[in-house]
Amino acid sequence: MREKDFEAFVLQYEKLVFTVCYQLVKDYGEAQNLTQDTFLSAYQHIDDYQGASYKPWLIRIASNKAKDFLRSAYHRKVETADDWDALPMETQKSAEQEAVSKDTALLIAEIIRGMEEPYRKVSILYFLEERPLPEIARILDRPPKTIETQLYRARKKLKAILMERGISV
Amino acid sequence: MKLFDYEGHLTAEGLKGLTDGTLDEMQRLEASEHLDFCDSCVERYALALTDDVQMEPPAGLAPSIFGRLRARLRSVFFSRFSRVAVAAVMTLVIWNGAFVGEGLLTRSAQWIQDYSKNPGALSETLNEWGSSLQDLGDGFNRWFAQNFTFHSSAGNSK
Repeated sequence: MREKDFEAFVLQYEKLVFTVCYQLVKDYGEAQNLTQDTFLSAYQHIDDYQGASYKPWLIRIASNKAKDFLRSAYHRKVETADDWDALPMETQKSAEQEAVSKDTALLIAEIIRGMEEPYRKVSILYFLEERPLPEIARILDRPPKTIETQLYRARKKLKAILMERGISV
Repeated sequence: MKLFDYEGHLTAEGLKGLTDGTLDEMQRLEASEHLDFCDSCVERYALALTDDVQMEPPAGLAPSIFGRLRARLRSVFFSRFSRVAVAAVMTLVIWNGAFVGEGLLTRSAQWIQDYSKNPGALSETLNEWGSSLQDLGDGFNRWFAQNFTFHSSAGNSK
């Protein structure tokens, strides 16, 4: 696309892109920055785009920019993750402890199945079916990085629920 | 409010919350992550963003986009130009060393000796080089201004 055509392209879609950026980040100044980033990114790839409409394509780019900004802001606010990575490990236990562990595992499975999306499917596949992350990304057709992020949040939710019920893991 | 349905797609309520501005920060993060990979929800969101819903951007936004784009293209141009220039100089050095015998070192020593006797000549030479670079920069800016000027014109119909 020639530069002059791209000027017209920006004028046609700047309202749309700015709206998407603002609705996602809720910050007027940051929405402007992200709108600029979106069009710069679009300029680099516009000649390769072969879709019928630019609108969804631009929304996807703007959402991606907003996602990166929001993730960065979120990580700055929350504590870093614990190393708690799996269901309780099996060690040598008494019969009574075995029964408690099995009960806890069943409870965790029930909690996982009752989770809301977008955490339920990814948690079932990872914690209950023990599938590797790349396979989960392929099954759910989500980017691997998104799977990692969702699992991290799912762990936090799960841990919070278990602590509420007085169960330590 | 339920943001996602059982299949993991944005609910109608969630989409409305996004356009109305009632989602909290985590919900907006989750929505943006989902829109990054879900074609069907992007299409639904696109349909929801009608003209009456879209916001008016600030007045200087489009010019600022062109300013940044121009700066980036200039940076890319000079980066490539400097790589080509370095490659050309290296070629000359190697060629000079291989075919002329005494090589560039001897010539450089002579050059330094000549200019140290006549510092005014060195200053004149450097000024000429600076002027040439300035001409090159001015030419580039003129080319950009001609090809990247902000106009109000009809848009594409896609």
